[in-house]
Amino acid sequence: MTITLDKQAIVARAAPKLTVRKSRFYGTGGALFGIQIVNFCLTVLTLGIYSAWGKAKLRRWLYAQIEFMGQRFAYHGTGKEIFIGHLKLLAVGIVIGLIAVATTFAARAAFGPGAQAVSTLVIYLLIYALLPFAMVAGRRYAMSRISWQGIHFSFRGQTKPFAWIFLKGLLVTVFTLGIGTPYLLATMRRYMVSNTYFGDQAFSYTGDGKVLCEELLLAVLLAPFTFGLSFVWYSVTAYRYDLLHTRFGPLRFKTTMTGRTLLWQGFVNMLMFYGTLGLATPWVMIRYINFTLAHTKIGGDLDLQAILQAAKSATATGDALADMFGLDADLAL
Amino acid sequence: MTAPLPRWRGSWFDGKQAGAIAVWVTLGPEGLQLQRPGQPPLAWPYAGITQTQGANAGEHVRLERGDAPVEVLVVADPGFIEALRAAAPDAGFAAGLRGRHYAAWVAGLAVGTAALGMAWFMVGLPWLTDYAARHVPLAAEESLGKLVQEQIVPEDQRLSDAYRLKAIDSVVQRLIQGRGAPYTFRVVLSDDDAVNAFAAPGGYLVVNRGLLQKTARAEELAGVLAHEVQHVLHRHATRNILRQLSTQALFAVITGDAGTMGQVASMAGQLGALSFQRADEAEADRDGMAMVRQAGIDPAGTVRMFEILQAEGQDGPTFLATHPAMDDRLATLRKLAGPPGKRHPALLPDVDWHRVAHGPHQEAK
Repeated sequence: MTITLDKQAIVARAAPKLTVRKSRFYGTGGALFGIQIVNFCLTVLTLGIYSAWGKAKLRRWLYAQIEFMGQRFAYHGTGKEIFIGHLKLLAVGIVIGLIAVATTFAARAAFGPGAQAVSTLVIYLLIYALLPFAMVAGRRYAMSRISWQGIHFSFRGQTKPFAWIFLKGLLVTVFTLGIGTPYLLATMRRYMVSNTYFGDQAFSYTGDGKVLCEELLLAVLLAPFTFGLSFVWYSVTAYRYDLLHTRFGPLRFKTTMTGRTLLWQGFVNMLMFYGTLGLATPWVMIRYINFTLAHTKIGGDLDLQAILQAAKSATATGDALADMFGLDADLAL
Repeated sequence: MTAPLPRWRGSWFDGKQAGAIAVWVTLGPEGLQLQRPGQPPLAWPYAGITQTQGANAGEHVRLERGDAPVEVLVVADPGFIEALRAAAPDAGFAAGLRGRHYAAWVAGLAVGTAALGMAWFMVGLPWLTDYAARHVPLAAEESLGKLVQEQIVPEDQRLSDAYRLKAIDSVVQRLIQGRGAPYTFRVVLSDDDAVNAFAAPGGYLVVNRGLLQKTARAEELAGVLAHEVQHVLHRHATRNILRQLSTQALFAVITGDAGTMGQVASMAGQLGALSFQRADEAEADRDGMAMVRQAGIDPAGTVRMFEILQAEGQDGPTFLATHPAMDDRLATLRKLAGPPGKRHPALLPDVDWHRVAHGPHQEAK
């Protein structure tokens, strides 16, 4: 009898009652399809100029479809600022292009055709050295343009410390032949997430990815026997790990996604995509968003009145720079 | 008793903290009224309100007012936006197109864009590149041609036997003699078995060893060279490169892919494939033959050369892949060559053509 009571007490202490919520997405494939068609046509008709405005329109729509605790998110970026970002990037691109052409020719003239390959390699390295800058600037811009409950998000990280984290993780990854990749990703994520603020309160991420390195090694070893499907299970494990180590004040995150459900989701999405020659892309995207959100559970109660506005400014150049590397900065934590 | 004013449920955020305050919204003649529980109502004049969301179907209407802190009002009711637009028709509140009107706009835009795009690719772009190609400065054409020639035949794949090169050059000089061509023609001999020749912009020509080996006399080579010289004079390659560049640049801009911008910059060196359209080939054939005849060279050599090329084509080398309808072209050439029988002095009487065609060590090969 006493034992049972003790057990109950322990259970009660270990699992205090959390309010568990889900985030919901209201957008439909048809609406997304319409927006993308209009954006594409206007971009073609304006020889590309409209693409900045189209991007802003798409994001404004996307964020307005996400609901959490009864309120939608909002996107505040404008086509004009994105366009200016594109122009700045174009100028940078032209300068880099000219430098590339000039150094290639100079190297060739000085050392013969063999030097050309080396100088090309150096140029590529220089361009990829921009990657951490792009990630920081891109996130700074993206966060500054998102709000919820009238309060803006912001990213307060700096390029220099992030570049060191990036470099260190990259070296670990290279020396471990890729098995250290989760460490690289987790240390990057830790910097990115724990410098992300909603109003005056920061998110936190406590993972270091070391457990995931073992999981990745296992997935690699099992890959030949599972036709590579072990990576699907690994990706779910990594995703679950990331959510479990992410917090915002009293909020906890977790996912009920499993390797099996993700595999089935991916299989159906692929059928839809290839069966329609890519025409179903918007529906596939929406399906995937809904799938992800349906499996994401958010526990805990926010004291909203205690979260105060503290917006930071940012320019859209980072957005364009991040785009160059195909990074899509979003609310993904 | 008067009927109560219609009112909408809304959420108001003061922009200082994240908590929502439930309000009742009514639409007055001058602005919105926000009734807060236990607090005095807020007045939002229409003139100071910015709408950030709610134009798309199914979206909550989101309104902002003020400047740091920005206050926010969100109304979820789908009927609110029309009521708001009716109450303040001049304040610029947008509802966007809905339902059938929206579908018609999307479809119309897509069809219009496709039609315009096709017209552009079939008429606009060719016209523009033709115009540009005619006005590219000579110096630019020459540096482009040099680049292309280097790409097709790198330095270490060129044959350098002076006797062969001198003979080839004599043929070119004879063809362009007295024509005042603006280009300096530079021919390189490529150590390549394929029976082929190329014309890069600006007078940079390439003759493959494989083609040279097939010739029995200088007159035959003259036929090919006259053809390639005409490609240069008509700026066919320059125009094709411009067309290719502009198409790819356009795609890069349309897809908004800044990454491909760098590729466009470095692409000038990768334009190895010099393929011409049928009309270009016909033009080069016709004017090449005229050139041969004006230079007093036996046109039978040209016909013979094209017969060789046609025969080679059955084995599928590259020349014919880019030179379609060889039968028709040969027939035209035979017609242009005029009646046979007229005597022509030998083109290069003092040259041992066998040595030119097969090189100094032909026995070893």
